[in-house]
Amino acid sequence: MFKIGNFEFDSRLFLGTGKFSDENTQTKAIMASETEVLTFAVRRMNLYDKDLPNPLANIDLKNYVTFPNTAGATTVEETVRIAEIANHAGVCDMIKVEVIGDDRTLLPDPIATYEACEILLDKGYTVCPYISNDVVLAKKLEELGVHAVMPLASPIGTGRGINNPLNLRYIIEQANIPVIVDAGIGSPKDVCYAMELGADAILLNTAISGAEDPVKMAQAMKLGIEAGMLSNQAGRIPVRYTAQASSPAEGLGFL
Amino acid sequence: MQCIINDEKYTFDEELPVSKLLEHMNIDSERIVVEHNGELLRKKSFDHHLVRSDDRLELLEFVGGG
Repeated sequence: MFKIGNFEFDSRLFLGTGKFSDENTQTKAIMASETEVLTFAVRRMNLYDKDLPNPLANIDLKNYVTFPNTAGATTVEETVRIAEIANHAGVCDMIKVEVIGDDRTLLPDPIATYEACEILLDKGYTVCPYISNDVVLAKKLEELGVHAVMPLASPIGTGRGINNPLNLRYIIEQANIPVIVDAGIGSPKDVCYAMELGADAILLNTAISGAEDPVKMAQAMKLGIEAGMLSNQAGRIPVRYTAQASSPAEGLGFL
Repeated sequence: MQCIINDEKYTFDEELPVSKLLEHMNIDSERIVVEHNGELLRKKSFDHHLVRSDDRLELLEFVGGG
């Protein structure tokens, strides 16, 4: 069990809802992941093709903690506006502050992220910013009052896994608020590693929705997170430079 | 009556409430958020909130995202 703001969670897997091939697969993957938190985006309605499938339209968001993102925003004003739209519609239990500052890498703009968080905190939101592996920014955001920080594993959609474990560990060790590793996850070994490093939860999307079998991958991710968390609690052995026999050195006189 | 919806011009016979406008456009009001001249509307106000000439509407929805 862990808490973000006033919300309590048993599941450590937060799931994005983008790019699923169809509604049925999405629903089954959500069930298999056992997530309690769904992330989604706000967009203009496509008026020319209103029948375009929107798998999200048929999910009862009321059954989940709603965690809209501000994806698409590149300024503080746009970020706040998206949050206000989601909040107005009653589907903004927590807000994922995502302000992209670079088109090629989709890395977040740290300054705009900080400023948007400040405004949204003032307005009473439960604020979780998506950030680079920036230890100082994570600290300053915590001091500002955000409810969790969400450092990336690697750039969005790359599936490259944990790119900077050292910084991630620094961020986790210094934090007194939950740390959710978000973006760049490729396979269960990545979520396991993040949880071993001490992360509180994982937010992922493409690693499940883009898998050949999203339902099976959702289950694998859930188990990977559980394994990593147990490993973190169990305390792993130190890494050594040279070998150390696991069988006794004594009692070899018969050889 | 001409108004702007998502940056496109639309023509209707007369001024009409948001709910009627959505009906004309064959849009399910359950799944959208409406911004009228920059102001977010409550769903319960769709029936009496009038759209007039030159008004600007944004029709927004929630879509999959991570």
